[in-house]
Amino acid sequence: MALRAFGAFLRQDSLLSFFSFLEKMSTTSLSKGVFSFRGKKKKPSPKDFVENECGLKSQQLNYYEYLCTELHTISQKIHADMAQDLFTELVSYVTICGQKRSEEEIHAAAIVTGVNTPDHSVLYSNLCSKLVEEVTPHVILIESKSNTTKLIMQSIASQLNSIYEDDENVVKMPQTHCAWSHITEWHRSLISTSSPKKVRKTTKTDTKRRTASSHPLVLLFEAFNNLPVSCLQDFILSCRNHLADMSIVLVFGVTLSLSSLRSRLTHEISTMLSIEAFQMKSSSVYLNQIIDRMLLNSDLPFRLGGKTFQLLLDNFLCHDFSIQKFLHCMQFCVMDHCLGNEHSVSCIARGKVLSNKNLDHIRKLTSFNKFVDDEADPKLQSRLLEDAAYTKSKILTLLEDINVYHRKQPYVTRCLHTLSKSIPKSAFGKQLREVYYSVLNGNFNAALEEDFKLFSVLSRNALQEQLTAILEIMSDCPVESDVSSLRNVLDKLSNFEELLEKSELNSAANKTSLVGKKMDMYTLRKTLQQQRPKHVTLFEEIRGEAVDALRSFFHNEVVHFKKLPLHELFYYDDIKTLKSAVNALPRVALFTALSKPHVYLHDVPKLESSQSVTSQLPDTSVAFKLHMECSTMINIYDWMQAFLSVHEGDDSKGEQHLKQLCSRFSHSAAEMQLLGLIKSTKRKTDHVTRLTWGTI
Amino acid sequence: MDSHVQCRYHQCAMLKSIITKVNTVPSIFVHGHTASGKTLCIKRVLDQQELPHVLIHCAEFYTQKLIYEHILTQLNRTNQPAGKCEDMNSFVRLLHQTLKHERYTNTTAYLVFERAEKLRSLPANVLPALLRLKELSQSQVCVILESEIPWENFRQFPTGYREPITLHFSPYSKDDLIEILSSLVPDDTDKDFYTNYCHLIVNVFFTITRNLRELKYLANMNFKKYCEPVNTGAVAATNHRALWKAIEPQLKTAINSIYLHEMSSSQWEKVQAEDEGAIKLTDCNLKQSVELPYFSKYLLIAAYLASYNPAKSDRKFFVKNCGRLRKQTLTKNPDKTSNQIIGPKQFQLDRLMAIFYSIVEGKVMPTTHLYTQISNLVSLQLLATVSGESQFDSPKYKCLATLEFIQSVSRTVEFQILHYLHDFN
Repeated sequence: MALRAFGAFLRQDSLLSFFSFLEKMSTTSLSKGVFSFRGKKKKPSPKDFVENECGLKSQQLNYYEYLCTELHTISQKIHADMAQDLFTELVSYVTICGQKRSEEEIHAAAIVTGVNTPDHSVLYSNLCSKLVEEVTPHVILIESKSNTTKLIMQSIASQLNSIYEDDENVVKMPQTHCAWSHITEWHRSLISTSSPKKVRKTTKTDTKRRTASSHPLVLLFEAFNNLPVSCLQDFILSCRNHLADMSIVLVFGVTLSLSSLRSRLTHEISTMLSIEAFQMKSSSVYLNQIIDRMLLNSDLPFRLGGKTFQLLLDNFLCHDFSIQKFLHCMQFCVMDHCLGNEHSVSCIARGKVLSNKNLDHIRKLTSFNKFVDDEADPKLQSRLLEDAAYTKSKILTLLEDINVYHRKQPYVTRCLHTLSKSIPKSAFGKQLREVYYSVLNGNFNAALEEDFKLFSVLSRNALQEQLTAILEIMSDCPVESDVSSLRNVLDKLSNFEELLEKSELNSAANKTSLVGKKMDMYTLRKTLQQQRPKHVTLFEEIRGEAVDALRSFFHNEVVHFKKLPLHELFYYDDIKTLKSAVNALPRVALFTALSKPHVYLHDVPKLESSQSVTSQLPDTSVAFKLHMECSTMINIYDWMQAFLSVHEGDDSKGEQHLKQLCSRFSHSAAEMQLLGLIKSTKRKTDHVTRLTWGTI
Repeated sequence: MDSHVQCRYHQCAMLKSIITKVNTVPSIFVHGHTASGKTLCIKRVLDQQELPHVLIHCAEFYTQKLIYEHILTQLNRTNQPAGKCEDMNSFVRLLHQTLKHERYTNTTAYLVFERAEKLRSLPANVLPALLRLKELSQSQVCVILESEIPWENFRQFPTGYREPITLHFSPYSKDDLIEILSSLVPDDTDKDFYTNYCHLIVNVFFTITRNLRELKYLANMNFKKYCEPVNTGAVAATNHRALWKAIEPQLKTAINSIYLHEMSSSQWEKVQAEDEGAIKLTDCNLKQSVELPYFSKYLLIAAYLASYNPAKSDRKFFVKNCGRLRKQTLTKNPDKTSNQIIGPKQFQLDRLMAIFYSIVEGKVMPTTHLYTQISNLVSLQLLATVSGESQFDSPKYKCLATLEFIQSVSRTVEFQILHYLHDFN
């Protein structure tokens, strides 16, 4: 939600720039006259605001929407794939439990989800719908916010009522004071009226339907950790009391580990449960999937730059294992990219004619300028800057180059990953994300050399496996690349035995040449010594070849994106905007606002140093700066005197003015208390305590 | 109906003498451990005499209104709620009306409250009024309270209680347990064979549990395995010694896993089918690795340090160049209790953040993400808020994680926790 609001805000921002643009365009028509007529009232739509005559803005919006839907579909697919195993296991477990009734034990499942709190609600709602589809219509999701018995019973009542909304034979439950007796009554009424037609079910096959009464009642607790123990224990006790009437299956969402579930329940209660644990895949596995399928997707004309990628990664690994937040941040990047980079639209309109305005924009890009500078022929250089048609064709080829690069790069990155995986203590790191990060940052060369040094630990088989794996990956790549040298080395490795025999024969032939010759002791020793340093074995030779082949391969294929002309159109690397939007620093923002108000307020003059205090600053800012000079205890009277002296050197303006200043001071002091910078103290009556550290 | 309840002759006789068609006792209090046959005896006696009664599981009802309405609907034998009944006053009135019905003339209605200790959390007037219900409603009604805790713990307030007749259900003796268990002999099994098995089960598990329900569960779970050698013909059914030898290792693992219910019954069956998987399964259930974000780990460690170190020692551990510390006169109290034994102390958010910043590597900006992690740790129950909600300017926390857990967390970030703990230095 917050992101959407932010999006709206940003669009407004672009709106402003759009209006200023319109102003420039339409000054001529304004001078001719002003007409007023009443039109029909129209509901404004977002497109009204962002469209202009060349359709650029609407294109931008379309582009943004296209990227977002792409990202969304990919993430949905990943979600579905990741949860699939868990869901099938759980569904079969619940089905078995529903059939196998026992009056002693309540069947329960615990889903151990790991720490990423905001992501869970999606998972549980998906699970709910899956269970409704395949097992039983009586699935009740108890959200984390219902954490008292009363609220739990309320949500049970309302959800059960909604299942059989249209059926008059089924007893309705009271919304506010629902008790277990109501639920049993409801269940009894189901048995007496049970007929398959009554069930509001999504499955269409009649054969699948069983009578409603035989369905188990599945209660899904979204956040087990938030429930108070007493409430949970009461709930389990009452479930057990009613096991004779109906079959109940409990599903708990446990965040950390199963032991937390056991430690919270008394032994008596936990003996009533027969729990089976289901482990969810950890969120880092999720992240790997996202990087593999979303960021390394060759079809997506959007990439994260090195810095932005690192920020998102850091936020994920260091702060919260939240996939959802990661995706939101991605979406923000896409949005900011589309807004700040108007000509990025041209990426998808590759075949279409570029407008002159687009060309101007592109000519201003640093990477394009660099490309022009690198152009050896001065004639071509000037053509690139002036001849529109030539530039257009050149841009198209450049775009095609980038496209090829994008299609190739994921595969090459994966090759690097297979390499780094097999080498112990690889300079890249074991994870795909680390490899991708160093590729994006352009420091892969040093790491690659480090890795080649460690290559000597690899055995022949391992080397062979490596090369086959790399060749296999590259064979999937849609764009052809030069792997012939790699293939050669691999051939040599596979025919190693034959080669070894040959070389042994050779060396044997060399050695035999010594026998029979007549020579003295000295020459013999010398010839033998000359032969000795030749102990580079055949394998080492081939390994050296392999290293050379790999080096040249990676040097050719792994190019840092910043070296590509027009990379700005595809890569988002605006770390400053992203940081300010994603990593909110409330305390720091407050301090900047108070110590350097000109950052936020335009009518305040910029100060030479942040320490200086003038009367032009806002009152609170003055009070804040003065309080920074004090020790932990602030004498209010002294503080006020300092405040007054800032505003006027002497009290010549009369008592009225002084009174005004006093009230302004008390107002700003109250504001500071509200902001949590000072606190009243009981130790000294006319003092306040400072809650901030240090000085400016 | 047979009123015979095994090993509870005395209590049954006592109940029978009190619970009669018309009685004069206003309230009875029955207490005893779980699974000691309280409810069974009371129900048997009531059913046998076909007396009108209402069973109330107190854990199910979270307000008094629900209890009253439940009782009234049950006594009226209708499905319709008997009108609004919000408090004790109207309950007494409605009960009086209900019991005027000819069905209840010259018959005492019995209200049986299971887990009566839950009644204590209701308003203070409920329990005293229930004990005097007969007097207040001026009708034939008797309240039976059933609980696991003795009556003394019910008297929170000194006045208004009318002492009920108390009846204690003592725990079953070993012989009782064997007798009851062997009476539950499954069909197509020899009785002596099963009795022998029960002897074995009770002897093995008696030191850990005397709960009949648990023992029943354990007996059920292991019986199949016990029969196995007999069914295959390897051992004669009378050769108790060989049977014991065969089942012994199985029961030993059962002590660790089954009793704690670490495995569900179906998992246990699976394990029995494939013997070797036994250890593996318990392992995967117990060792659930805990994954926390990087800074959360540091926050947790900082919280632990703040909780278990005295604030005075912070200077010693966290100030990098603190100059010369004043040499303490070494009059260390030899029997100074360790903080590990006393338990965690509360600390302020400021102190937590200060320790966090001194132990964490690299520069960390105080983003909102960082602060939300603290509340996230609270929801994971690794921290607990101590201060009330009104104190939002300086919230106080306590660390709930164990030393073992913290050690494993700090190992993942390569932080030497023991070097920073006051108790270990």
